[in-house]
Amino acid sequence: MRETVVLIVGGIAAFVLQCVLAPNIAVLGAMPNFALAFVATAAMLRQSDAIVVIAFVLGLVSDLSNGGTVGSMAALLTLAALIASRASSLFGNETVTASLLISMAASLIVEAIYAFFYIATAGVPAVDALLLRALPCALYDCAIVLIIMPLLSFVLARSAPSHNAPTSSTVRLR
Amino acid sequence: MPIINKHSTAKKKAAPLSGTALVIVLLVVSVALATVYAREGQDGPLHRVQSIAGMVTAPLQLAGAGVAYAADGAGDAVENATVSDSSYTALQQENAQLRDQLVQMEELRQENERLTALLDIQSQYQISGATGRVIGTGSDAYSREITVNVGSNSGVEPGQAVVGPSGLVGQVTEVSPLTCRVRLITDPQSGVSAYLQSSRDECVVKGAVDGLLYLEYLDDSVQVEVGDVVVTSGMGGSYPAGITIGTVTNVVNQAGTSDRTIIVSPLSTVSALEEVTVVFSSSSEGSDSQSGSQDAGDSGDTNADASSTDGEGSVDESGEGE
Repeated sequence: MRETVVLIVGGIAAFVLQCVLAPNIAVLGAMPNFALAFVATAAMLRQSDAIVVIAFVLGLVSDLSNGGTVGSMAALLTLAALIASRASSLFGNETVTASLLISMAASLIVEAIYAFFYIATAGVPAVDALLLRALPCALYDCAIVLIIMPLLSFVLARSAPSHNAPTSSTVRLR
Repeated sequence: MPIINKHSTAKKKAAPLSGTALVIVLLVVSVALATVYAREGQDGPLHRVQSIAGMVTAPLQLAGAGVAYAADGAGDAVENATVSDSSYTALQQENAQLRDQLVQMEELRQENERLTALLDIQSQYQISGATGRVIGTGSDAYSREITVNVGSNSGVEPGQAVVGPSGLVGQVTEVSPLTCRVRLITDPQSGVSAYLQSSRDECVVKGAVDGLLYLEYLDDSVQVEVGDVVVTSGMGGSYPAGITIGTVTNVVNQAGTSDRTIIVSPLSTVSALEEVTVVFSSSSEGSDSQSGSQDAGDSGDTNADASSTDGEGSVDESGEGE
């Protein structure tokens, strides 16, 4: 229960950061997607239904506030949660490299799908959308994941039930 | 660098893929929502909810605008703090020059007031609209939009043009009672019917993903030079005629072909907490629709004349009026 509350608060924080901070740290038009970074990180650290629902709601709220097609980001964040969760289950997330690769794959897939959706609806050149938006945005997302991951891991470890080992979900560097 | 995550591994073994059905359900719901959104009109329930959501998140965007303003101020402060002695001397000299200019400017201001009063008589060039402040910029990397703090309560409607201090800024795409969302002309989905002021040749100014404005659909025989002014033609009715869009900054000819890439620099670039005016009506619209059907060349002349005096002057008037 406490973990769910932590994840909900994290989702709200990601949305606020997306509205307040993301436009101000854009580099050549590419800006990070805090919601995507949060969902990918949370799904890597915890495989639960709550993550999927939070991803969907977060995407829906993003769609409503950004003026995009309602449902598009909701579907993509749900997909990101699924990809990160499954990849984490299959390949593990015991190393920073593995976590980074998983988050990069999830970000790239989501940004690429969003770019293709944008190409189809806005009629912009595919090369421009993929090279000038999808790729830099995905890299930016990965950078945000690197910041979010230790923070979220620490917070989730603190909110874990007391019968678990105190260091149960803390990401540790050897 | 190896890391340990015992807890997550344990959870994986317990319920590694629980929720696949939930994911499928949510994906279906998302697709259904997207389909409804695409099929319903601007007055549909999802669009209405979106407008209200945009209004609710406006304070957050305003906070973002404040962050941008603070960041600019911090940058200036750092620049000022690290200024060298030579720069300081240069700044003192510049300050003295500016004081002289200030005296001259005051004279010019008074002259301008008298001339403005005369220009007010020419009411046929007046732009009426609602002036508001930019309270947010889009948080989506794929679109270039701003949020302005005037909405349907002030008479703003989707499709109306928005002008800044120097020229065209964009078009209203979504309206809530207190705010409106404006798609900038640099947005890849934006296209403005325009013409070159020097030759009266019609063209389309389109935004692009890279943030530049490209001049397209211009006949290959037309001579274009750097510095040529591009103004709205009013064709199609999306934008009033005669509003300055920008100037040509680069013409790149493709080797071996007649193709060329023409880049336009927008005259009016707005940033957070600056004012823009939503245009309700302008005299150039009327003159354009009347003369457009008769003779394109004549209408172009009329509109160009209107824009050169009207485009900036009457916008300022609207601002003052507000």
